[in-house]
Amino acid sequence: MLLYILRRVLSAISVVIVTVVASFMLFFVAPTDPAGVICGPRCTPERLADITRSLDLDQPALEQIGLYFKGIVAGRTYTAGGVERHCDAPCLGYSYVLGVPVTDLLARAVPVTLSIVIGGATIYLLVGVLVGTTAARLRGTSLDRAAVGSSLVIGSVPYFVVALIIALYATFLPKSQYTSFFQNPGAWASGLLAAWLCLGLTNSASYTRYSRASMIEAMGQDFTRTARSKGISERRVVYRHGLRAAMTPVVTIFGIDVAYQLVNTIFTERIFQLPGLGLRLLNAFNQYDLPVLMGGVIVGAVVLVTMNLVVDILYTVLDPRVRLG
Amino acid sequence: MARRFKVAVAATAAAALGLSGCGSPSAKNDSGKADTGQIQAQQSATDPDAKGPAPDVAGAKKGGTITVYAQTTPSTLDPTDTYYTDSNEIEKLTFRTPTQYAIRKGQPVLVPDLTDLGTVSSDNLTWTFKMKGTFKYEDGTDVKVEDLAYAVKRSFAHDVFPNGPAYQLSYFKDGDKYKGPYASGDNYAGVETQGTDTLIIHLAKPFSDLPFYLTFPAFTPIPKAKDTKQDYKNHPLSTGPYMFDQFVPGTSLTLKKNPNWDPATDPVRHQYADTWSFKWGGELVSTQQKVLNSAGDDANAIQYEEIDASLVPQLTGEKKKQLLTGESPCLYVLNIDTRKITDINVRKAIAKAQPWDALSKANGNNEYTSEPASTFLPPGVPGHTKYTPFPDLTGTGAGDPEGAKKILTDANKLGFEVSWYYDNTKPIPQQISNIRADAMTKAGFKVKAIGVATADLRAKVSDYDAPVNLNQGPRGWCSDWPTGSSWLPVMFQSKAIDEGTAWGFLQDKTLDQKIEDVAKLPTNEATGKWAALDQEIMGQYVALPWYYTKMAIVVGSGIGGAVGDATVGMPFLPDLFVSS
Repeated sequence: MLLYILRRVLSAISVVIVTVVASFMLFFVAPTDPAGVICGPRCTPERLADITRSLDLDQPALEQIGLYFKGIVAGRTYTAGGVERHCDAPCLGYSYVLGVPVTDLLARAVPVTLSIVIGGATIYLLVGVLVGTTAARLRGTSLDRAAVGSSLVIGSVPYFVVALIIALYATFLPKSQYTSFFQNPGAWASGLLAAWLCLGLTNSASYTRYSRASMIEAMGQDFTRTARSKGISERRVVYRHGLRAAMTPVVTIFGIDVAYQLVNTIFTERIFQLPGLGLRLLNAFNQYDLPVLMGGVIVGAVVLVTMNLVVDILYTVLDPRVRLG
Repeated sequence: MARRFKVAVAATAAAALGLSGCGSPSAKNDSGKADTGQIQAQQSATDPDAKGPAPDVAGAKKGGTITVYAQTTPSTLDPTDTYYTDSNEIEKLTFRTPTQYAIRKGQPVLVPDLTDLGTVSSDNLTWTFKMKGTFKYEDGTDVKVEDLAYAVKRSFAHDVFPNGPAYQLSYFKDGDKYKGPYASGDNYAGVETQGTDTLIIHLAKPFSDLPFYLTFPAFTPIPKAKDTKQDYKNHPLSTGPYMFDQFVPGTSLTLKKNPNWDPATDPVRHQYADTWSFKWGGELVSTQQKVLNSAGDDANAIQYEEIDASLVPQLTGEKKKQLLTGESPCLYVLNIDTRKITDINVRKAIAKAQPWDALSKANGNNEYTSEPASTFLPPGVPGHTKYTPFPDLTGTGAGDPEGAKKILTDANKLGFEVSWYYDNTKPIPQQISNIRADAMTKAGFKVKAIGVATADLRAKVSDYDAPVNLNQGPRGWCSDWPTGSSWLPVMFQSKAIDEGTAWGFLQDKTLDQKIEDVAKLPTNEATGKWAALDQEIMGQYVALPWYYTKMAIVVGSGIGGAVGDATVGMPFLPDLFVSS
């Protein structure tokens, strides 16, 4: 297992490096004009040159990539107009637009996104699994049909429509805002409640269907019949034996979903005005803020490869038949 | 030019501009009616005798928190690096400057703030400003005249603060050589202090509008010992009624009362609300909708970006009162390169062919956010005079292709090629280009519209040697301060070509001198003379006026004192209060 994890970590590092280099090159290949965007519409050649110089954009692309990776490993010193700024490793640079360290920007944004996703994921996993499991147990009944039908309806409505409706009209919910959990857990939870409900409600639909299908299959397996024939209570059969087996595919999807949402909460953050990673990267994209984009790419790549690894390891816990290697 | 927020909120794709605005009688605290309102013409206004405290706003109450939403994030709140209009307006709450605008009956009036309005020497090259009393920073320390001088010097550090205003580089003595205190040290010939209260600015050339320029946040005092360079923006020292409480760059700002601000010395600002909460990055339409709905805390909120067209139908009944309208001294034009289109008849044919109504519709112009233009000086700028419009220069109409064709035929120029760049990655610029191309083809022109990606457009349009003859250079302009010298000299003198600000690409020495003669006059004397020049240049058909912008923003039902700030096209924040 340890060797497997080590191999996967090394592989993950190489994936991240390749992703960063590819994104960097894409930035230079694609038509971008970060200095022009910052300079604004009334942009004299002198001012544009000032901004270009201050952002190191007058350096060759390969040199910029080299300096960027050097900064991650060993830190970097920026000099402009007689002023030096040192950026400690891992240095992800300074935002072109805001002029603050990218690490600080992302460090502030990531907990917000984590909070949104953890809360939302908890809701949709619990609700989806509970409803799906119950529907599977009561398969064919009106309750089953209601559960499936409503999950289809909810799943059909575009996410951003649900988010806008909640944001604009569910005024009975606490106002959306982010407060750090460590500052005030109550305010943290109440400020994220609307976003959690939105994320939880919309995603629970698919988890209802996954869980239901997976449970139906698990409950039809030989080990379930064996468990029942041994006189084990139905409750224990379902939740101790059946659910555990049924959860394997659900966990796989859940892991990938969480990873995806950690880097794709743009709609939620934008509509509920929560200053997370998605919103930060969206603004960076619009403003050609390369250092922030690169920082986001690194975070996203690390999150995705990590979650993939976590899911694989979790698989072995849930299903002893699975061996890694 | 005053620059608006970057990126997304730019009102049109034909140009991305800064906006300024003037208060209008339709401001919320007057009649409560949100009518579209014709833009009001302004007269020059300075009041050198203005003193604090600022007159109370009718019905003002103390207390509460005002929430301010915007989708676009101010890039910086470092005063030296501030040029965009949103930062500029926000910083009126925190920074006092040598001079400032008070808004009286919806009009901006230049008044003394930290200093008087200044006196100029007989050769127009030395300005002397005297401090109008004693002032303190938020930490209780005194504001010294040396701090004002240091702020001037700091404004030259364009390698460190590249976004800040740059007029001092060309107008102030040795402005082209001095690179700021970090690179060039403290010795700078362009500014000196005398005694404890006198600031002297030495110029390289006359700058009669210098008192207006000193309203920029770049000239707020900064003590050298507390200058933390690029980190200063995280908590700049306040001299205004509010100070930084919490600041998350790119996300939010909370301001609290500055206990060391003395209202008796301030003819401009008030300290009504307890706190201000700025929240940036939220989606435009949904935040404007929340403010319009005014549920809970959103009743005490404003959203300072132009109202989205989709929300306009909701402005009925009580909700009408929640639209704050005002003036905005910005103008959009169709720029003609007279170096390549030398025949005035061709230029007149171009004007006649323009289907302005269709272009305005495609551009999303509505009655709240724009008004057809017929002069270069917008009505929000003192000196504007609505002279009889020249034929086809009214910014309205369906265009007359047959008439244009006749002009071309008579001038023996049928099939004349016209060309321009447009953004082919966005739907609105594409639509505008197509409408224009279609109309001009029918008018007998040979049309070459060249689509380019957004990121390339700025470079292409700024290249005055590019092989196109229409719509190069700034497609719109907003004055940096409300005088004619922020317009005509900047756009129409020969130097404008080198400075990248040319309309018409004129190289007329006689016109240069006429403009120069007016620009040298004291501001109030010059005001009455700009209109004649405006009319003379307009008659040459070098740039075809399209529309003036107007300010139209949503305010919550619990906000009082809302009036427009003409100078930046935003609500005048220092007057706002929580009414409920």
